[in-house]
This record gives sequence, structure tokens and C-alpha cells, in this order.
Amino acid sequence: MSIIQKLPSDIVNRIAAGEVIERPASVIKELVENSIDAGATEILIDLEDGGCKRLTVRDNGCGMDPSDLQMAFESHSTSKLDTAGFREGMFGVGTLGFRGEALPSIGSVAEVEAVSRTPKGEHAYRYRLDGQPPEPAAGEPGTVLEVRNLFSRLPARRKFLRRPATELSHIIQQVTRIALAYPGVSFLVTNMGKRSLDLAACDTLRERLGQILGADKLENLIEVAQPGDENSPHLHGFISAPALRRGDTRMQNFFVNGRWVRDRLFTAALRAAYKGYLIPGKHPLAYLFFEFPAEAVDVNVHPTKSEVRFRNPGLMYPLVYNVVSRALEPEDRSQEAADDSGSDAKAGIEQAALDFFANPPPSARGASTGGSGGSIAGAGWSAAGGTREAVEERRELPEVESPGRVFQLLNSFILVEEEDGILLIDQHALHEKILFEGIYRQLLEGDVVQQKLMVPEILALSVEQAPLLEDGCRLLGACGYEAEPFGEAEVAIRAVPELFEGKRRKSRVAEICQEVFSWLEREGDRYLSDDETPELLEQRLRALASLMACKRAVKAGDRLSPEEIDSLLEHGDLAMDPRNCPHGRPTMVRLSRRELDSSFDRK
Amino acid sequence: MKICCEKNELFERLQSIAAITGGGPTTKSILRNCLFVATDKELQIKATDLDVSACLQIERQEVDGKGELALPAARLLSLVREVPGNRIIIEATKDGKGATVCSESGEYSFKLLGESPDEFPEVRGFSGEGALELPRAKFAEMLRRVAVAASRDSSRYQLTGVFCEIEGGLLKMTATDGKRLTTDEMEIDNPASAATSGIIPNRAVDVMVKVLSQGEESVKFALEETEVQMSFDGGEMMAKLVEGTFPEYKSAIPSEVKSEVTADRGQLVAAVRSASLVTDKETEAVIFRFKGKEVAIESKGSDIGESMIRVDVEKEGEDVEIRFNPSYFVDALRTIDTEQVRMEFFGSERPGAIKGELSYRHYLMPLVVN
Repeated sequence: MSIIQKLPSDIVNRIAAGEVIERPASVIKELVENSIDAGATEILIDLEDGGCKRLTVRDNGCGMDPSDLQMAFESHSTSKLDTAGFREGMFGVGTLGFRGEALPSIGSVAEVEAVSRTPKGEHAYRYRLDGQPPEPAAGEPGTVLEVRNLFSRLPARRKFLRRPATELSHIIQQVTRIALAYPGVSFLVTNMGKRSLDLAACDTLRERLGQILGADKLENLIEVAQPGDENSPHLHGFISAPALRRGDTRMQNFFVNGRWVRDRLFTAALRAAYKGYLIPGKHPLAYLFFEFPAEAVDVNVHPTKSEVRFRNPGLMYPLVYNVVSRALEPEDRSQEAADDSGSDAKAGIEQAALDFFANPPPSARGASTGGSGGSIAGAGWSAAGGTREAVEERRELPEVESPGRVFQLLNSFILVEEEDGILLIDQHALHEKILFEGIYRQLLEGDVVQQKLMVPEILALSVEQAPLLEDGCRLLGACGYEAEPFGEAEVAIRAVPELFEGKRRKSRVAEICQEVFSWLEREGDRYLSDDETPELLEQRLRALASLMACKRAVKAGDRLSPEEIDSLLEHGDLAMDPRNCPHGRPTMVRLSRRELDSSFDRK
Repeated sequence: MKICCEKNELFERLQSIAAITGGGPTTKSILRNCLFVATDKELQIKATDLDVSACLQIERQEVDGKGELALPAARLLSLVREVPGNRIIIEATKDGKGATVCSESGEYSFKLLGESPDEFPEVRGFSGEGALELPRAKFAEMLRRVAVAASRDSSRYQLTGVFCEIEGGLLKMTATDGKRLTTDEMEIDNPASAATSGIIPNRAVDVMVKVLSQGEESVKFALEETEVQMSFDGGEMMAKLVEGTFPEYKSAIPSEVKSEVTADRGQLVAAVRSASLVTDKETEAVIFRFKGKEVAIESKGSDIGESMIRVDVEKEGEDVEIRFNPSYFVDALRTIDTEQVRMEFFGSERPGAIKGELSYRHYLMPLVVN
């Protein structure tokens, strides 16, 4: 007898189940995906003990006739590959499931019963995995799958199941992911008779996100869309404004052809795009959908299909980075808000934020006429909760006689009195951002105005920095300095960017140049490369601009004169996006009258 | 001790020393005070910050009793400003640590707390040997004009003053903040023909300009190795020089004049100021196009708009196109008193020179677009 034997099919199934079925949530995923592939518009999930004891998935899809029902539980059987499709290989599968492993795998690790009725069928059929043919039963069109005692025959695996509450939360997460991709399908999850998730069918992803995140979060979501072509996928979805952020990346969801996937590349691209909007350790929310022609992506690299392989992976990072970066720029946002008339609240908030700096409080302009319009509502995405409501309420409150008084607090913050609240500005962060934008724009456009120096400033480098002499001079050149090596370890600076000089500003030429060398020493490896891609150049310029802005900005603790404060607010008004400093920290916090009132228990 | 003096004179003296008593942060509060010293013959007011010291006479006065009195200078200055009448009476309290300051009529009366005069540092008298005799007002005016370009940035301390050089029969002054450079010289009677040089700190220059600007007499000026001393009618002054080497500036001064322009100073100031209204806040730049019989002054602000102003000029030599920071340009024009201003250009990336009467030159580095 041959030593090498073919494994019996039930063992094969159990091994396959080990790959696909880890916990109740994996069963739900497989079953719900089947329901969606069956064209269901309504999916009901009922659980006992978080699905460990029993889980039932009921749909109103196309159902199966008795022979299909029986076939469905045979290994590697699938309704989703026609022969032509199969010949083209597994690239080209447009449905969610297709491996034909799901049902047999589940059947091998739990007690499964299926009741299914096709729309034309006179009645439903029940099928249990007991070798008996399907028997007639009562049932609505569609399929009901009931899975009991998961892993009861695999005690080792059963041990790994967590508390029912944990398993339930995994199921909710799983269903939510699918629900995001299929807003037109309604989902109801009940556990021990209690509703855990109830998502009515809706028309758009936006509405679905509202159901999942809460409607108040919608105004902090930015819609993105990028039409695809033969080389790149169609990309659409939502990302969060910097005010809406989390400490982890769990709310970053990527979908490839409707299938939720995990991909570090996307996460990395998001991180790069949000650089400057979020401080390290904070992550945005993202719901991004990529629609590829089916043959451009291989989903069959992972049993649960949560990883995919792209035919052209090199395109993906820049695609995400560019689309997201563009969406984060405020012009885009206002444009988008204008286009999207269906979302007044969002447009209102964004406009209010932009308006604040278009119409700063009267004192910022040195005029004293106050009290016109509510344009200074919500100077930022944050504190934006329910603006409309706030606008209505404001009318009932006593009007502030002449809003716009401005104070410096603790030599670090600027307090601006507004019509319906107060605005606290971090003087360093705002100044830094204003400078950053100016510097970055100039560096990017390249027409840096230089002030020639009468006598060069000589900068002495440390021993460690001396080898960086040439690179440093080159970078300083890119920043608008005229710098050249002066001997082995000294730099002669012959011209400085006018942007940093001005008559009344304190010149910090040597200090800034020294800072560039220190930075080069610390991070040079990351930003210098023989292969100078446009992305690298852009990131380098940003980093340099941010470095110089930080050095030039007023510091916390600097006492500002009223003129300096006015000038800061006036410049803030010119800044494109004054809300976050280049490191991503917020520059301002707004406290509405409502919040103040409620802090004093006035409501 | 009771002092009765002319309000205006006292006010002027206190203003002159304000740069010393109001100087940088100090832990020695006594340095914020001025010291009145009354002797049989005269009344002096002294101030020092240990680097710069001044001792000034108060001429029109009546003193009853000898003694010393230290009073906070800035506070006294603002009181003197407010008190009505022509004369002021200052009477020391019994403990000598304060005084009553009142108007002659007695309607205004302040009690001012001071400090013990014993704590006031010694202010040395003039001891300059081989001092030069210089015309007082002319010297002060030269200092004032040159000091305009001195750097106020303490991180470049060697530029924070006026560099004085004495060589043969010539006193030369230079100041620069890196972007502009002023220079002037005067012929002097230097019998010892000793060559010396040193950087007089800004704070001392401020005081010197104030105390020397009036009076036609001469001033004794001794530029020593580490300090400068002066004696003049009505007082004495001394200051420690800035330690450090003034940069080698001579090679930065261009020599080959490409064009020479004369224009009405007032018109030019008005035109540049107008053009500066339409520049970006962050990068002020105004283009001067000298062509034929006029200069076209242009500016552009990316979010504001553009300007174009024409001013008639007389020009010899090539056409010039050059950019300057308008506020530096206006500053330079303001240091000149003449109706007409003469300018020299050496190329669009070389400094432009604004010429005053005689030997005053104000070089201005241009802006270039890279």
C-alpha cells in the first residue's frame, strides 16, 4: 500500500475550515456574502451567545432548488464560476465567494441546517448534512442557514472562542464592513432576542455611514472620488477631516470590488497624506472603495480573501496619497461643499470655517463695527456639532454688544471674543502654520525672492555635520538661501529668502541654517536618495518648510504687542487652512456659547 | 537736599539717559535709577548700566544742601512730563531713599520711593588722553545717519553698533545689518595720528546722539582699546566697546558705477511708499526700472494687485532694473536731508548707493528672484 494517501474529504474540509472559519464572525462573513451573491436585499442575523451556540442567517435572495441545496455542501462546488470564467482562471471572479469551501467547511465544524426556496418554488426544502436528500419544508423565498454548536466537534478550537460579547462585537464589525459595501441591503443583527445592529436599506454610502457612525459625524467626512481608467481603478469613498480621528487604524476600511481588504500599503499612504494634519499616533477614518476590472486583481491569495494582490501594486500608493492629499486641501473642500448641495450641514460648517478667516472678528481688522452675520461660527471642523441648531439658538441669546475683543493669555494663547462664543488660538501653532504655507508655496513655486547680504554670514559646522556640507548647501539652496561651502566645515551664506527677513523681523539666519544641518543629520537618510521621485521631493520640501516655519514662529511665552496680535489674526485670515499647524496639532479651539453655558449649568 | 530746576531741562536730561536706565533686563534694580549729585557748585545727574555711563550737568538750578539722591528714572520722567509749570522741586526725604516731587505752585505733589544712593555704582570721570576734538553737532549727525543700518539683532553682536576707525586725518564710521551698509567720514585734526578702531554699541550711540545733538562747541572723543570716552560742554560719557571683529566690509563696497541718478527725494519717498502698499506682507519687493528720463516703480502682491508709478529722474549711464525692499529704501532716503537725492547703481545684483551730502553713503543690497 502506498505510503502517501489521499486525505478523506471530511478531513480536507476540516483543514479548509481551519483556514476560513476561525470564529462565529467568519461563518457570518461566508453566509452573508453568499446571501449578497444570491441577490438578497434583506439579511437578518439572529444569534445565541454571540453565535457560539447558534447563528441564523436569513435572506430574501434567489434561493436554491433541492439539487443545488445538496450540491452546495459539497467541497469546491460553487455557483460562481461558469466554465468560461474558470478557463480564464480565477482572475475575473466578480462575486464575493467562489472558492466553494465555505459551506462544506462550516458543515464540517458545526451542525448546519439549510432551508431554501426559489422564487418560483412552491415550497421550501430543508437540508441537513446527514446524507438524507432535501425534504420539503415551510419557508419564504430565500435561504435560511442555521449553524449550531460551532466547533463542538473540535474542542481544541472551541477553547479559542471568546466571551459571547466579544464574538458579537466581531460579528458586528464583520457585518458592518459588508454593509458599507452594500448600502442597498438592509441588515438586522439580533443576539439573544436583542437588536444589536439595525441598518435599513439606503441609497448612498453617505447615508450608510450616517447609520453606522452617527449623523453628527457626517459633517466631518470628506467625500473623495477619482474616476478610473484602463490602468487605475475607480476610487471613491469618504475620509475624515482631521478633527475626526482615532488612536488606531481600525476605522480605516478599504474595499476592493466590494470586498473588505486589509492592506498596509493603503494605511501607509493615508498616513503620509495626513502628515501635517494629524499628530503622530492619531489616525483618520477612511472608507475607500476601489473598483477594478475583475481581472486586474487576484483575491485568491488568502482563504478569507481579506488580502488581495494587485496586478499593478505600484499604482496604488500614489493613487491613495494623491486623492487624499487633494481632498484635504481646503479649496477642494469648499468646491466640493458647493457642489454637494444635498449636504447643507457639511457645506455650512466648511464654509463657516473658511469664512471665519475671510471675515475675521472686527478687531482683527482694526475696525469696530460688530455684529453682522454669523460667519464666525465654527472656526474649524471640530466643535461643529449641530451648527444649524446653534444658529437658531443664537438668536435667542442676548447679542454681544461689540464682539471681537482680543486678549493674549499666559503669553501663549490669544483669546478672541466671538458673537456666540470664544476662540482660543495657540499663537505659536497659528503663526507656524501661516509661515509654513507661505514658505511651502514659495519653495514649491520656486520663485524665491532673495535678499542679498552685504557681508556673508559664516556658519561653523560641527564635526558630525561637516560631511553633510555639500548636501546641506544644496538643501539651503532649495529653501532660498544662497549658501556655499566655505572651507571644510563652514558655510558662507550670501543671500537669504526675503520671506524670512522683512525689516522688523528678527533675523535668525544662522540659527535656521544650523537647524537645517541638524535636521539633515537626524533625518537625512529618509529624505535624501539617489532616486528623487516627485513624492520624495514634495515630502522633503514640506519637511524643510515646516522646520523653518517652526523656527521663525513666535513661541509660547513670547509677549505679543496688540499690533503683533492683529497682524497674526490678519495673516491667519490669508492662510489657506489655518486649522492645524504643520505638525498636525490644532491651532485653535472654539468654545461656543452653548458649551460655556452648559459648563456653568446654565441650561 | 532740595533741588529746584527747570522742568524742560530736567526732562531733556532724563530723556537722554533713558536708553541707559531703561536698558536690558537686569537684576540690579539700582541701575534703573538715576543719581542726582549736588555739590556746592553744581548739580549732576548720572546713569549707568555698567557698560554705558553718562554724567550730565543740570545748569539752571538752585540747590539747597549737598547730597545724593537715587530715583527711578523712568517713573521720574513720566512724572516730570505731567507736572504743570516751568519749574520742578525735588526734595529728598529724611532717610534719603526717596523724594517729594512737586510743581512750583505745590498743586501737584508726588512722593517717589527711590533707593539708597550708596548702592549706586561709581561713574568714572573723563580720563581720555590724546582725545580728538570734534565738532559736536556734525559728529552727532554723522553718528545718527550711520547708525540707521546697525543691526538690532543681538545674535550678531559684532554688528550691533557703529564701527569707528581713526586713521591719519580721517574718522570713518560704518554700520551694517547685513542687508544695508552705511558709511561716512570726516576730516579730523589728529596730531598724534594714532590709528584706532572700535565698535560703539547701539545703546551708547542712542545716548550720544541725544546729548550731543545740541550745542555748537566741540566734543573730546577718545577711542581706546576697550572703551570710548567723551567729554563735552554739559557732561561726560563713556561706553565699553562691543567685543568682536567688525566684518571685512570694504570689499563689499562696489566701485564701478554703471549709472548715476538724481531724483526729487520727496517724490521718490511718496512713490515707493505707495508701491509698498501693493506688496505681499511676507515678501516685500519693489522693482525700480530706471530708463531714460524716468524711473518706473512697480510692485505686485499675489493676493492684492499691482502698482506702477512713474517719477522723473535725471540719469547718466546705463538703464538699470533693480529690486529693493521698499522699507529699507525709504529708510535710506529719510536719512538724507537734501531735496534732491543722488543714487549710484552698479548692476542689478550689486548694492545700490544712496548718496547724502558730502561723504555719506547708504548702500542697499538688492533683492533677486531666484
